Amino acid sequence: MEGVMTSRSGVLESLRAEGVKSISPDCSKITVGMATCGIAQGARGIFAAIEEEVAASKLDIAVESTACIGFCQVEPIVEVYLPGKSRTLYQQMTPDKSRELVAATARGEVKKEWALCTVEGTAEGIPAMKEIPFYKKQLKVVTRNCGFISPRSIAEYIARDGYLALSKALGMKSDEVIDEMSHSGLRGRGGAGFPTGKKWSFARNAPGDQKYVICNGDEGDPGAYMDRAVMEGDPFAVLEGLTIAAYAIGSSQGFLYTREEYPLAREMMDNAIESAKKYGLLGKNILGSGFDFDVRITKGAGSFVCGEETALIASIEGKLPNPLPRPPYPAISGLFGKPTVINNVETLATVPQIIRNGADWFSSMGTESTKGTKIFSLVGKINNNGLVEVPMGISLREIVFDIGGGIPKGRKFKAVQSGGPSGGLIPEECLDTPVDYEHLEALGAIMGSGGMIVADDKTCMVDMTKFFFDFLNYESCGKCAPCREGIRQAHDILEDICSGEGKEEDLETLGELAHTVKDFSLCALGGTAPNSLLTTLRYFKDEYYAHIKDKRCPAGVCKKLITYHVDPEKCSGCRVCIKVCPQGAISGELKKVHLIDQEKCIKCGACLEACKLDAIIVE
Amino acid sequence: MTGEELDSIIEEKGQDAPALVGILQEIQKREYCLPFKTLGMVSEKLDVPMSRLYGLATFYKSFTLKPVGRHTVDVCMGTTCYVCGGQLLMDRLLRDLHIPEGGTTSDRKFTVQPVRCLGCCSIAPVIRVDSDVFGHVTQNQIPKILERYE
Repeated sequence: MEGVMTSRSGVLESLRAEGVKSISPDCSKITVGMATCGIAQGARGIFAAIEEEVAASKLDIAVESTACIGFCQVEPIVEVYLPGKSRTLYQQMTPDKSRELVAATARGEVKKEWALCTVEGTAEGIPAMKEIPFYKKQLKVVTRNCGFISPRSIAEYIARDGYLALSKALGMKSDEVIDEMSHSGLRGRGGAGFPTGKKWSFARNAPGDQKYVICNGDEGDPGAYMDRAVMEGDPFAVLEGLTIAAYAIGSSQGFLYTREEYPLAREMMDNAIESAKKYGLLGKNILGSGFDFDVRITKGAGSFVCGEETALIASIEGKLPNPLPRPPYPAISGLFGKPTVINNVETLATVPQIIRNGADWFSSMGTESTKGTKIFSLVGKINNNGLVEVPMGISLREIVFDIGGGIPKGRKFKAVQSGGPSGGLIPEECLDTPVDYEHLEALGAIMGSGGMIVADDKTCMVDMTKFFFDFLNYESCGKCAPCREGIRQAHDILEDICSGEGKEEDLETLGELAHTVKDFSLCALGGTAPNSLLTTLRYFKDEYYAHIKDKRCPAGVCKKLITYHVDPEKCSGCRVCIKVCPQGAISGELKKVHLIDQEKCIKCGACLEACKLDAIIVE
Repeated sequence: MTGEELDSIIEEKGQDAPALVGILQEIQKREYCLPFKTLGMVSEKLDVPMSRLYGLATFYKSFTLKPVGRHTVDVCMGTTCYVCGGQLLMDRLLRDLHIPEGGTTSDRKFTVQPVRCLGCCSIAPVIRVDSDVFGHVTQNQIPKILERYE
């Protein structure tokens, strides 16, 4: 046993020293946020500009990349570390600004005017991370490393206490690990909220010599991207969590199921698996403990239903991913008929921290029924777009207005959509509800995987519901009739309403359909599909009536019910709209008010987008 | 695709069930579709019935039986992109390229298809051309974006 302990600490200690050095080197260091969204915003060009500038001036500055620090609104984000002074984040960088930043860094100076906040140390005139509204109410637990370390570096992960949990778990009995998880109160973050410890103990106690663990990285919920961010930003945490799960249930083989749409996440996970193998943290005899565990990555090919666990298992088995009735649950009979634990990415990334800091630490955060923190993707019509991690129990209002900064362009808040296509739309009057599984369900929504899409008064609730039904109609596997036929039928009725052909009795039919689909579908896809419909019927019935009775779309979205006009008060006659109109539907001379020919107009919105004076009216 | 090429894919991906979807993905990548002839070879080599392969090929969105263009334009139709005007981008692309949704231009240059969330919701609306992601796209930018591709 003594030998085991020595070899364990030996590997970890030398890597830790290396990691500490690379996070905080003796020289200055510039780090560029290069997750998928950062790259889309131009991070690659910034990285290249910085490297070029450092090389050209032969500066002693390290240049690194990291992942997403959450505040996507102000990407591209660059971090500058000045040893002994501060670590500062800079927002909305460009290649030109970055070159100047390199010069300032070489002089040991900060650029106050571009700074977002400091994450370490202090700098005059720059607020600390904890002081700015976006981060003030956040609590970084699962995302503690995202944007702070190089996701390719196992050494940096270990320098921030990575693999201490695995090392600790391997010294515990597997039952003790499961007890700790149960005691923590952690519930699955993929959507269903099933207690993780309980799931593990079912699989642990199920008979069978071969068992499997699967990391569900099939984040198919449109509007949610926290799993992508965690895989891209802290892949070793996911892998460590999966390894601990395997040890707890007695599994030697794991699978990681990723999406085709997330190539960078897969690259990071691939790299993490290779590195962990190299240092004996994966493979045979992990850390000298005698425990063997290997992980294989499989990639989905584009299917929402594969996030459902029985469908996901079928997909890995190379079969058609149709969900199966449960029971038997995968924990008893899963992959290839063997006991299988499937956990979501965020859940697994939480596991190492619970083992390391203890169940009591974790359960001290959150509410009575829902412990810990949750990452939400706060997106849509919101000022501060991004990934936010908050303690459970925070109110929706705090998330939308304090963290999110409210609605852009002075528009009015209408609803927040929680839980993806299976979730519901929550109106203004319910915003003081604390966020946990039970409270969101009482509102008719669900937590789901954590998508929070904010809608303003220019978002049509009927159209948005139609969108979800279109999505689910496409993604329904078609196996059971209530889901396949019910969703299609409801979609067609919603389409009629959006086209101005709805009838008053349609609302009753929609209500009936919703309950049939909810109650009689085979899997959770159908079981939760009607939530958007039920909540909009409950909270936004007026909007349905406006479409049906007045043949009007109050938000100005449904094409058949709206027209485009030029506001003569605001139009300066600049001819910009005339140039972009694909139909030649707009006429008018320079400096004279323009006119839209309703016969020719296809309501494509090109003029609305191009007009700088807000002179195009949609009603 | 020759039998040898397929053999090398199978050798890399593995022969067992969990490797199957990965093998099809590699074929799709190289041939721009899943040709029946190649599926037939897969069926023989891996002893998987053709009906199963056809099922997989038509179930998953990223597989096609007809060849796609040299560049694939994915228009994100996730919730956030939809709320922020993704449908208008799709309409514009189809109008400019004179193709239906999922269609390929006659010169085989572009295929335009909807995709269910690229996970870039913070910069919605988003389109992806091959592996390049463009955020905050406006419809009047579309001609410029397409111009970049040969």
